[in-house]
Amino acid sequence: MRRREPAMPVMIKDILFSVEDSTGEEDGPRSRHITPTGALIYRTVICGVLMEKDDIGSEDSPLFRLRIADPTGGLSFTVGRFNPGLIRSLECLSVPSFVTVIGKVTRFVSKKGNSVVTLNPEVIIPANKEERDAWHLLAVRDALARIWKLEGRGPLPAKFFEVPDPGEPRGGEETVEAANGIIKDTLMAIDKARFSKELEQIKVTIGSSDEDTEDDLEQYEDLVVQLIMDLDSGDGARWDDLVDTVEKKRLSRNIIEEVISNLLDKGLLYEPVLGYLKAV
Amino acid sequence: MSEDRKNTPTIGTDRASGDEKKSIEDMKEEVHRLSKELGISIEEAERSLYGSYGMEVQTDQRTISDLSELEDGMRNVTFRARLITVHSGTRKGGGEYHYGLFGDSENTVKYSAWSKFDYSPGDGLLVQNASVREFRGGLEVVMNDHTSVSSIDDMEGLIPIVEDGIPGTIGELFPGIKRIYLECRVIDLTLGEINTKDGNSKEIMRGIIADRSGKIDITCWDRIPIEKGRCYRLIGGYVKEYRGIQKLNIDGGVIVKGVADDRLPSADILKEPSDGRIKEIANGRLSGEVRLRGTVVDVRSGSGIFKRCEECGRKLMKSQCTVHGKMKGEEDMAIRAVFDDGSGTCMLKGDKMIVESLLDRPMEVISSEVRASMDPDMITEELSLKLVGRSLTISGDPILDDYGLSISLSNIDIGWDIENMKDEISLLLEVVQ
Repeated sequence: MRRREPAMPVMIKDILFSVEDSTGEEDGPRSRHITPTGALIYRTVICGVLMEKDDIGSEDSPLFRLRIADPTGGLSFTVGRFNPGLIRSLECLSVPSFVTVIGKVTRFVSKKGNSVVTLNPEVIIPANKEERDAWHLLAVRDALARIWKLEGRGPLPAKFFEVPDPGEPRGGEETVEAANGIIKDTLMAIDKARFSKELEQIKVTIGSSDEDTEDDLEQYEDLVVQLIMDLDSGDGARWDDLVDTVEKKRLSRNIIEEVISNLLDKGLLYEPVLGYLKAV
Repeated sequence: MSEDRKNTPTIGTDRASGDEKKSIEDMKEEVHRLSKELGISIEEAERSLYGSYGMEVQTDQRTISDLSELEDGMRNVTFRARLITVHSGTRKGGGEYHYGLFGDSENTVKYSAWSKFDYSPGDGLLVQNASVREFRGGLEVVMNDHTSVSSIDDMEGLIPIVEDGIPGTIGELFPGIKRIYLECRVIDLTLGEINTKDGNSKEIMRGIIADRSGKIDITCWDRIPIEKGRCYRLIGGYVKEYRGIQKLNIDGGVIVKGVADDRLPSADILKEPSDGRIKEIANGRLSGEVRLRGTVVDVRSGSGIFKRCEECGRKLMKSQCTVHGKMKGEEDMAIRAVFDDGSGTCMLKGDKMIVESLLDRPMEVISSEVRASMDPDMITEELSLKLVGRSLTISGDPILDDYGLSISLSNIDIGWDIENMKDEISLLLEVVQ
């Protein structure tokens, strides 16, 4: 049985910068598109602001051109006589208003010879600001999870962050920049105060870790010992709990692993049983 | 073997009734005579004759300290063991026998008991004069009329030593794992009865246990001393997959050790459905109730209000039941919808309660509305408008079968927790350069 392709939440720029991908045809030919953030999309869900609703059809064959925009870009598509159910739902949409669109990503060649990406909509419904923000946050979270997987960072912090296997984005550095742009632009639009601070902090840690790693490691040693003593309820601190705590404090898992192996070498920590740590 | 024993009493009673006090010499003679007459070995004749006088055969007595010393063909062994399981069966010629598992600190061995055997799992036993044979590729201790079994209080060396180790977590369980060791809280427990093949009823327990890593359904085929809400260490049992969902099976042989109730978070916290994604559930890596974030892409026809056959519960088509013909029918409501969370899709199944809560009015009101409008599809459309394309948080129990994944809904909420999502993003943000 052929599985239904899930509708992946993505940002519009993801679709605009996507490349058609003919690989991955295990269950029949299906045209998927690889986006800069690594999503292999066939069906998508986007939420944004309806910017245009032009009636360009005739009486026998209705046709509407719609344009939907989010913080990363805008996308045009048409609704015509092949989507009779949708024509009715368009009536209650005003411009501008929040809408959610679920549809298949398609491509055609324009009169000028350009390849244009567009949507074949299946569902168009009015939304509100909360829903718009929620969809954008989900799109960004999944994009980050895909990049996490692409970088081979190991398990995601939580099981429910799991995403379908990402595809390697095409186009080198430009694409990486586009992906970062998509994530940053979206986050800035939703909660500038919070995320500008966090993004700044990442820049600082990346900068400093390049300069003096040794000092950095020593600076973490006290913290790690303290964490282990806090988590220790007698039998030692569970390694998994420690990793959880470390991740909650937004510290890199790799650095902490290195710090712990240093401390084990120095004899300041020991493992009473496998998987547990205890401070001396 | 049973042939032998059938013969024993005839020979025995015959001789015993003759003269009770035979001397040892006479008996030896008798043994030789029997051996010659019946064409059987001396041992067999001794066994048969001495047994009929209620005497123990004093040959080859061996006491072993460890079940691993048992070997095929051993006779008259004496050992201590802990009874792990007891099952009963019916002998071909009528009557009952028992079989199950013995264990000590490190080993287990199968047994069968062909005479009275009245002990329960967990008892410490001293077994004298049992024999060992090979049975279905393994060893089996055989106990019959000559074997004496008594219960002992000294369990030294009989409790599995794994007990001092570190318990595993529910999140690490996988189908096929045996002899699990968990520290968990019983968050749900119901007592039930099932009918066994032989027509008897058996008392069982069903429930859910949880630790910090997750939840799992348990079925216990005996009554064991656990209570809802308390924390225990459980040793024994195995995990199997039923309809794509992991279940833990245990029986009376499981070792239960109560632990302090503050070792794990409260039942209310553990009861919370675990956040999941369809991809993870379809891969069988989650068990128990899940919470998903996604949207409905289609409400299937047939959702809404309809009539069911009073006899069998099947949906009526034009007042006709496929089995019972024309029926009046009872009204009911349900919803079936395709749900999509960006990682996969599944079918949602909701009952009358779910539909009532979604439409925010009771079935009686909906029923009269439908009758007034003459349009039975109106409810399907209303549900569609409420759900399709909306950001939804749903929770329910997953079921995986030939038709794919479906979730039987326990709750459906419109909207997502935006602050929570921001926190999730912060956890992942370090990949941005």
